[in-house]
Amino acid sequence: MLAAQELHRRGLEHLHQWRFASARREFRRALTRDPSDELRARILVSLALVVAELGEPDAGLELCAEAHAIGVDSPEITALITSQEAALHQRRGEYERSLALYEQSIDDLPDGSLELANSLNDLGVVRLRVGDFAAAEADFARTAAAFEELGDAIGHATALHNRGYAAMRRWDLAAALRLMEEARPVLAEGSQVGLALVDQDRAEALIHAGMSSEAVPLLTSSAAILGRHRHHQMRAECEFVAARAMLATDPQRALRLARRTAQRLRRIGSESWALRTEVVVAVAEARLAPVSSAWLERTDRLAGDLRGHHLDHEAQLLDLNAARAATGIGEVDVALARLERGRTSETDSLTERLLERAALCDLELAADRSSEALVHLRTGLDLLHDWQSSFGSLDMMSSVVGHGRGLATTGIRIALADGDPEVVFEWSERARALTSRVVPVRPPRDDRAAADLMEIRTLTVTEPEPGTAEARRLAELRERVRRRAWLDAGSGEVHQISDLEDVERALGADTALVSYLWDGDARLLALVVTDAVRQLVDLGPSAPLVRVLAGLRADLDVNASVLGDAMARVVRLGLERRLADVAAALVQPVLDLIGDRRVVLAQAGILAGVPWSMLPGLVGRPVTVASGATRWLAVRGLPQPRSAGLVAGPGVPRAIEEVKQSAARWPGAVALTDGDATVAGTLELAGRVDLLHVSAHGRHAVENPLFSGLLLADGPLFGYDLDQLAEVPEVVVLSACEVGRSTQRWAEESLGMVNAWLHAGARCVIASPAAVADDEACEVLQDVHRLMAAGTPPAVALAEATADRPTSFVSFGAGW
Amino acid sequence: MTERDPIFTDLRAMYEDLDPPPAHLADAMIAAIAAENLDADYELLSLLGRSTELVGTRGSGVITIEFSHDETSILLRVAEVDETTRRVDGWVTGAGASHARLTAGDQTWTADVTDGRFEFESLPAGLIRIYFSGDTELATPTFEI
Repeated sequence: MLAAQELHRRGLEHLHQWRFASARREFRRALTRDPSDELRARILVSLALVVAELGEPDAGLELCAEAHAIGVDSPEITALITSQEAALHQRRGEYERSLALYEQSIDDLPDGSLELANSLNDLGVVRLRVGDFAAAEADFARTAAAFEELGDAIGHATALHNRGYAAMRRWDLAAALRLMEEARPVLAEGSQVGLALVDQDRAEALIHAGMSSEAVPLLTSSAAILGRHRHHQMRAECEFVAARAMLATDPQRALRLARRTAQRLRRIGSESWALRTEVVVAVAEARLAPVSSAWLERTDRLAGDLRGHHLDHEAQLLDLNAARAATGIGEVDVALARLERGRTSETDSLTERLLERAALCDLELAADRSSEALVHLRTGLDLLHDWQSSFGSLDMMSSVVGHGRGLATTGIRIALADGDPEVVFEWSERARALTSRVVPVRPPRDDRAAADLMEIRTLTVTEPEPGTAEARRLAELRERVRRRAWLDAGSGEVHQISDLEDVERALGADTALVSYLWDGDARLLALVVTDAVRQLVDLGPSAPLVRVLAGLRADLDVNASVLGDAMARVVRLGLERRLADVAAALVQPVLDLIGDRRVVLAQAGILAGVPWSMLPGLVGRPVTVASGATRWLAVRGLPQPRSAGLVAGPGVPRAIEEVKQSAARWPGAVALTDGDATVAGTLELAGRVDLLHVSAHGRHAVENPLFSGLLLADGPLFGYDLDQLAEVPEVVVLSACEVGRSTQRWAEESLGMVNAWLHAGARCVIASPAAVADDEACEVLQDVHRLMAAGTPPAVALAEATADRPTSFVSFGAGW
Repeated sequence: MTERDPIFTDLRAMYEDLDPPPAHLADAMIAAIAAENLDADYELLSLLGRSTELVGTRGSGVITIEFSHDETSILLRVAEVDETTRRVDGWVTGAGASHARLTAGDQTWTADVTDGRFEFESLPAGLIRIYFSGDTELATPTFEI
């Protein structure tokens, strides 16, 4: 017959593997084998945890009481029992009680024991729950050291992961993801449940990064795994996070899930989590419809209950949301009271601080004080930018813009209603291309990323069939490259918005600024600035133009391909009519104001993809599409390139001709063709020339824009490859299809190959937002090089070369 | 004879042995189709080709489909809006077509044809058929988008 000690050990093993029912069986058998008092106490403590995990927290506490009652005279045993009580109170959401019990017991737990390591970890979790993130991070650091001493790799990884979670709550996302990333492979070796919990936390970090659409599927699958293993509490917590993630994109679905989850939490006696979930219910309701006075009363009570459970952070979130809802129905006094109660401090998270600014802005607007409202919006966006500048990854930077989208749109609306060109200018710069204000840094060269990209290239040569092992490997590698880029640290610096006066001075007599603005809803406007005017032009409703633009890419694509004569005529006619329609909406109304000036153009996100140089009125005129006037001012005045490198990818009939003819214009130019036109060769060349030209097949990746590619001899060159460059050419010519396209994120924020080059440091990129004809590219771009080599700036050269044969190539960035 | 033909012959033999069609099925089908007589007034366009390459350009990805009948050519560009939604842009030469009617299952969409250009902004992915009315009444065979 097995001894009590052996049965206890076996039970602990089951417990470690999350097999609670088996653990309970072993512990109960152990109690029947006449253990010593001390061992009996230890077994009762273990059993207490198991029954709590199996859904009977009260029974767990009774077992602890029973263990105390044995009266073993040992501080260590008392500490053991007390810390288990702390753990059980924690699981019931009674964090203050739990914290007190841990503080009372933790110093008496023996050094180098598993109990100490576990308790330190749980203490960190409690501190997280009560919002003391910095202390939690320190607890987890101690935990990690304790597990390392024990040689427990899983425990160590868990502590690292938790430390990452605490860092996330302090909004240090790069550190958070780095720690979680380090822990994940070890934890993935363990149980399915462990992995589900890890993914749940990663999903939360993704939500902070504005990537809710990627987080929700991760949460759904984690919740399903937890449900299958009957971890009801953990499953409900996971669903709570999912519901909160859906608030931004699908409040209806968030509401349904949160209601169901709150009921489930009540059923298992988890009141504090149910209260948290009710916050999601209330916020979703407010998003879906104007609230009632009953809603205001209910949320007032809920905020009180939350504070009663020491959930101050949740109460604050609710109060700030309630303030906005109250303003929305004209209950200004209620709004002020809630706002007062929910005031944030510097240690609060960005969500609350931005929400507070939005609420303050609402109140000022309700009182017709729009300039005061703008002050709050400015403060909010500055907060966002400071945070954004901590990221090195363009992908991450552009996705976190979502947090400020509401503020930026409100700012634009207020500015447009005000109509003062100076205010409109400021907000057009603030609202648009939020990433372009962050000072970029060149990330350190990463050999692991380079190796992954190389493997992706090999796999992409023939796009594998969905569902095959190759396709899965490809998806995994892409994900890994993307995730790794997120860990790059940013510069922490943000460009200040330029003054309109400075911009005017820089424009001089021969250049106009046309900044297109979309009010986020219905209308399109243009701000025109020259040495003669500062004028806001109303371009009318945006919907008809959006419909016209939807078919434009089809016209451009098909027009670029080789067709029979009759079909070519029909296609050409359709394209010309559509370009005329687009020009009538966008160019005609500003033509008198800009005269025959060159144009620096800033486009609203909905206009991405417009081939500006083909529009009647702009044909033959130097036009450059900048992400904003501020950015243009910072990078304009391109020096004449002294060295050029040209690359011809495979499968493009006239690429070699184009590259050789163009190279002949530049003294000492290097041309890579055939087998030499590899990705490594191209990157090496890019690192040492002022001007890089790539003629190749191109493809924009809509879902994953930084995986847009130019096809070279050994596979595609991706946006991510640019991170491997130490030096970036000043001028880049992408003689390929559609790599001038971008994917819209958050209305004004777009991401693609052109942004990747501009963000990396290129000052001007010539590229096409649509398909380009091989013949046309070959002939036009040779002329562009002839002109550039003679000293003509890129955008001017492009305009001259295409004046009598318009193409979809556009100059991005600073064209002169 | 291609290298696959023996496989098809074997497959056919197996099904005829194990699961033969009911004796009346082929006749009943012919009668049913004749009774529907759906296409009596339409000249059928024939499929010329389907490609993900745009000939003569430096890109690929979108699907183009071509049909023709006598002097008439139809060119369609099918773009994926999302997993289940497609956008179809089309061009038609020589038929004097003024309207395009598109059917998918029991749903129908119509579009004006202006100087040979027409478009359907949002369609469910799956099998469709397009009918053109104008100088000649034309229809495509059923095809997948």
